[in-house]
Amino acid sequence: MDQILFKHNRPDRVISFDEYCAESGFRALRKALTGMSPEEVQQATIDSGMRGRGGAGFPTGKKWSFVPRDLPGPRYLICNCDEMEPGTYKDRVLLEKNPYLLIEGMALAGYALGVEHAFIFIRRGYELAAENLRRGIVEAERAGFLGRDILNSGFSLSLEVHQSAGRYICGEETALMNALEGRRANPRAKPPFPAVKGLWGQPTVVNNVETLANIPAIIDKGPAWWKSQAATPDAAGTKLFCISGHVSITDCFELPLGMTLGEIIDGPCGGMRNGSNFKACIPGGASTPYFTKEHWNVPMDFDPVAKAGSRLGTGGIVVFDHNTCMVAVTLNLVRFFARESCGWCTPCREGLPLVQHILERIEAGYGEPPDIDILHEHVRHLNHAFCALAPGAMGPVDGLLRHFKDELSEHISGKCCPFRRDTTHTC
Amino acid sequence: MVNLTIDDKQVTAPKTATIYEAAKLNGIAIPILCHDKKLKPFGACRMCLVEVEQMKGRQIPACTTPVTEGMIIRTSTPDIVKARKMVLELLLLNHPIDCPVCDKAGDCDLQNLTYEYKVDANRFTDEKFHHEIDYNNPLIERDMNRCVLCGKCARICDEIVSFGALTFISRGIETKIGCEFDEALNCEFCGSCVSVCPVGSLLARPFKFKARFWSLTKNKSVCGYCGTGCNLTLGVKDNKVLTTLYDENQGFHNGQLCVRGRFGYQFINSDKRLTKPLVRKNGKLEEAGWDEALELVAARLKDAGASTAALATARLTNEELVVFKQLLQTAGCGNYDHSAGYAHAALTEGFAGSFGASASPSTILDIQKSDLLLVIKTDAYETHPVVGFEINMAVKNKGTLLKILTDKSGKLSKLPDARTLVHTPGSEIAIINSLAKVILDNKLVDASAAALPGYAALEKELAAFTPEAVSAQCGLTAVEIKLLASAYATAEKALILFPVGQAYPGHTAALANAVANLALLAGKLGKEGGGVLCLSEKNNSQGAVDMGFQAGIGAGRIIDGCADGSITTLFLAGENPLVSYPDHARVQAALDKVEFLVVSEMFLTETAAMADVVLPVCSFAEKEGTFTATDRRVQHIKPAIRKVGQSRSDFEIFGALIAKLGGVAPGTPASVFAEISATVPGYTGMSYASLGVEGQFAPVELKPAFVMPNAPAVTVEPGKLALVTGSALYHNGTLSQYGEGPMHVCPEGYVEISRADAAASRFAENDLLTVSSAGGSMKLKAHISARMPQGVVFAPYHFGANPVNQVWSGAPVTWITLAK
Amino acid sequence: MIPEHMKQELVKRVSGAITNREAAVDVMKELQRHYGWLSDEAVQEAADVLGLSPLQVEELATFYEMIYRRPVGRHVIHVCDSVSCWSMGGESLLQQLERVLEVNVGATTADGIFTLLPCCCLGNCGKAPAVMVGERLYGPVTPEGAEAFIKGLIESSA
Repeated sequence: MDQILFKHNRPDRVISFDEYCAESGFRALRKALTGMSPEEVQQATIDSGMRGRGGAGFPTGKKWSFVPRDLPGPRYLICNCDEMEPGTYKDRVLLEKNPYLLIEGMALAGYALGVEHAFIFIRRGYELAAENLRRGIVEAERAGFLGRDILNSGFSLSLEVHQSAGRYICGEETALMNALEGRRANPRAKPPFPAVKGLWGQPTVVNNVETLANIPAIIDKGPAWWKSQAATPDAAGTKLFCISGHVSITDCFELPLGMTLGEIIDGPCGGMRNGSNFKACIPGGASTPYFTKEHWNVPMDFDPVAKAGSRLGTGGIVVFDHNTCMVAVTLNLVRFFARESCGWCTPCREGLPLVQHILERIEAGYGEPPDIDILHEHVRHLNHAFCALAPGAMGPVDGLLRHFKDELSEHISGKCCPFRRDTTHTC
Repeated sequence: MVNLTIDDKQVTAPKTATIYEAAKLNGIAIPILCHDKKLKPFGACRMCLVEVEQMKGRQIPACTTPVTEGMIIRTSTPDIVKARKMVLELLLLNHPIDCPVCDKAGDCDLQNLTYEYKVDANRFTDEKFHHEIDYNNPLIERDMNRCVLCGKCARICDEIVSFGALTFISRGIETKIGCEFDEALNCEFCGSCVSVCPVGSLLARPFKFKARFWSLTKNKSVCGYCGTGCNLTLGVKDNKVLTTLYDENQGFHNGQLCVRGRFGYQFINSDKRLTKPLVRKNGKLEEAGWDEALELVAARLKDAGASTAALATARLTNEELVVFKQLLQTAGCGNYDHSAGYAHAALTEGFAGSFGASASPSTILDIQKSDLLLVIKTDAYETHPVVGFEINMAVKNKGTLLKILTDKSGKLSKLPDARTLVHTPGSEIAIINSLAKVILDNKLVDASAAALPGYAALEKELAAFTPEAVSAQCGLTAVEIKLLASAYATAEKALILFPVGQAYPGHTAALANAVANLALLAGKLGKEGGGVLCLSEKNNSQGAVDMGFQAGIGAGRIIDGCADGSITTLFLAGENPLVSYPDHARVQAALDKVEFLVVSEMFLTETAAMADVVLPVCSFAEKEGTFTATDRRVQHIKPAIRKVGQSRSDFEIFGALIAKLGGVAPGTPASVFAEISATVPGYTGMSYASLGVEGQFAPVELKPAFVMPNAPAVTVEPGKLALVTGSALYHNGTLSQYGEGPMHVCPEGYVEISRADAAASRFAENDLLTVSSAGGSMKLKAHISARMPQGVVFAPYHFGANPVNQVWSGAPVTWITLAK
Repeated sequence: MIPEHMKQELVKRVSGAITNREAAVDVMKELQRHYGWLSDEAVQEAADVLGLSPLQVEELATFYEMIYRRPVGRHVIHVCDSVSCWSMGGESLLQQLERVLEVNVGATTADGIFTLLPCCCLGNCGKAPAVMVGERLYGPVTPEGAEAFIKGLIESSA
């Protein structure tokens, strides 16, 4: 397969604007603006089978098609680069190496959507990525790929980088819009959906960095070619997988969508780190239920992963070896979500700290059998929260209850964490 | 309308409705904590979850989800009940559950829902909150430990009150409702936050530990302060009004009240109430029996005959005013008036000339239907705060444009995109004339205008009012005047609002004429959301006008008549001219001089203390009758408590005196109202029954004409400051001095000065300044604010302890000096 | 008080935004850069520049992780405590840093140079355990390397 997103990467530095142009950069934009209608760009995206790379996996072209083109006032495009899901760092790696793919992709999406003002909402801490983008935007403007009347097509687009001050919830698309408007980043009720009433009440599309960075290739080489880069006929395109945890090589790889979990771990990751065995992994960022050895051969694509009881999510795989306590992993994850709750709705604000305390008790050896029922109840009940944060937080708890029930029970019956028995903790 | 099924019941609902609203319309109750019909949907508490078949049975919030055709909804499946129970368990996790000492008990949504859902034990345990309780102000207690974070307080403070005193601070489990810099609450204390709080986090401190909610009798009434006509529910126990209770369905204002309405009720059961008649004996007022007092007054009225005059407060009921008139006529008295005479001139002379009717053509309900509001003086918010809320909501929710012509900026100026034009004091009439001139010159005149009487004369008279000419003296530029004129003229529906009252002597008949001309020229009358609304000061100011309580020489000359001896007997019914009429020395001299002074009053006011006979009267809460609000909404009040002490209603007093004078005493307030509805234009056909709980508008029949207003020239005294009088936000007339709430927040008079003037004279906040005018001098505390323009100072007029009429002689602008 | 030129720059930033509020985070960050943290004075100044009330600034300031409403040291050391770093020894790293700096988590060293804070995922999971100092990412910083890491920070900032 070909690399699409990492094709241009230099090993030790960011690619320059001239280098990018020399490697057929902005060719797709030229092609679209001189020979394609906005509808054709949207159709190509639909045909490519592209599904959003930010976590939810919603078909990108379809999302664009929800935007009414006849409402008065501006429409907005927002690139969601608020990559704060633990275990996920693909957008940073991409933008630190190459900001131009995203810029070109946003120009194409902007053209398809009839947007004149687009934003890149980037998380705090991604200073190098933000710097690259700011520079890239100036360069693209100078070269006439952004700004007024791009390539004499009559299409204009200005691109603005908005850097956040750090909160996981800002990555939720409606919370992101509140954050961008300078309001508290609480999510908004849906309906109305952003496609109809989003940023400043105007139709708005929010797409992930990786999603938008793929658009140039879809337009340049055609949707069929792009789709065929996947590992299976059902999958479409490549995917950035960012790996962390107990494998030999923890890095971000561009891989064909649909490779199996085992192929990824044993292949580019170089297998488990010295002397350890695979126990479980988070397949797609902190909110996805665990995969275990039984999922070794699940193709890492949206539908197969969902069928196996989890979600492909962001492609952030966190691998745990046999020495890892899954109650402790889950506690760590729930603590993260409890801390990041915006506090808006009751189940999330009050429920997550409660689940955290219950897991803390269990891990410390003070758990009681009814605690497991309460955990079950919360997995169900926190689905009724205002947004997807609390249900996401219950993903790992759900995984724990489904795949590691024995380990959980052992904590309670043994009144201590079995993985600490011989180390610091005395039972 | 859409068709849907709720709990197996086929129902219809408007297509804009949410599931919650649709259910409510059809008598199906869905529990809520964070929802309020007045506020934007929030969706945070998750109590209102329902199942929608089309959404795969997912539980979704009823309060934020709009209905769609064919929706099949279940509101209380076992799953939903379980989910709601869990929400309650989670909310109770950190809640102190201190219901026995919580004033909210019995009226607490959390408590009631916990009971309803039988959450008798909590399987969860966690630490309670330890927030410090805010006891820093006398009116509102904030206990964030009981808070369920529904945000209603912060939302109402923003969405309706537009103050923004409260908001969400921090996040997650640490989220709390906080104030600026995490300090104590410091706001305008309207108590809207208290009214919507579903738990005991925000409580009315004056009511604290006074009574359990369930022991209160809830009696409906109408607020006795300003002319807005807000409805009240009084919480009564042991014949005492202990609090006002919130009822979101009450009145056009949906239960919204200002600080006076909510926290100013204490005058009703004040210890200072007069409970027995007082008669001056050997120079001292001594308690007497009713017979003695009334006999004395009757005898005196008989003797004095035509040399008697009377002044009434516009807080009397319509029926009392009618009977008072009857009494005065029986006694042969031909001179009576109210509201210092000039405070009603905008209606009785201004609108009478311009509209052929002494009433405003528009109502408060027009505010939220308007495209453009032109408010004359930001004081409209201070004089009529609940009208101010209507303006806030129009501007914030409906996108109504707001233009303000004013001599100082104010709270209304802070509304989104509000345009405030600050002019030199006293120049408003010239500016409005100039707006009319621009409309004429720019051919923006409505087709209906030219045919009206006086058009040609107006056209001629307005020639002098070019924006250029007016701008030279008014402090605005010609361009500003032109832009305002064209914005006003081109708005589809435009409404002009201006307050009148005893503290606004510049808001005269001429201002009313000028405003009317503008509206007539631009064709703004007769449309919903357009027109003119005069905001009159007292709760029955419009009623006093409608009842025609005005004859003879007028209030000003009645005072002079007392001084020159032509008036020998003065009957003051609830009026306190020593404090509220211009020129303290003049009033004092007149009252000193008049041979016999009768005052019917609730309190021994400064004026009553000078009387020969004081007749103790009861408050609005103790009597029956009707009040007519500023927009001619006629409302019926019934006694909420028995009369305090031996006090009687003015109705009874006047009736008894009529009998003693040999006349026929009226029957009951109801029979007098029947008389009113037979004789007063606009009131025709009204009855207590037709007034109902909402009241009824007395229609205004218009016969429009142009009347050229006289724009008074503003003289400027160099080196001096321009003093303008007005109302403080918390007060109304002099009555609010007996309300604990208003007096806690604003206990005394002050003089408000600009930062620049304060800096130039090195005045600091609360410095005691000597205010000197040609009429006299007095001491007032300095209040330095950003809203005052340089060279202009403001003083409220309500306070008996330091009445501003010691330096103010009734001019719209008084030139003064300040010294430390 | 912020210098006039800085105020002018902030005013310019605000006027360039689609709405004033849009610039709120930028303004807070700039003021924080100036003061080291967002003091009450800075909140008031942000409110003035943005045309908001201090309370409207406060509700934003207290929402974000990287806006400090309490004083911090010259360098804020953010130690990731999310799952990837945790799995690679992040907890021990934090303990080691506490020991080396002689402060508890959340506190500032006596000399006012370092504040030690745990934080959520820094997006540097491939180089766990990850640390961010100011706006610079580091990783992997092993528990064993904690002492050398701090030494390096002191040297580079000296």
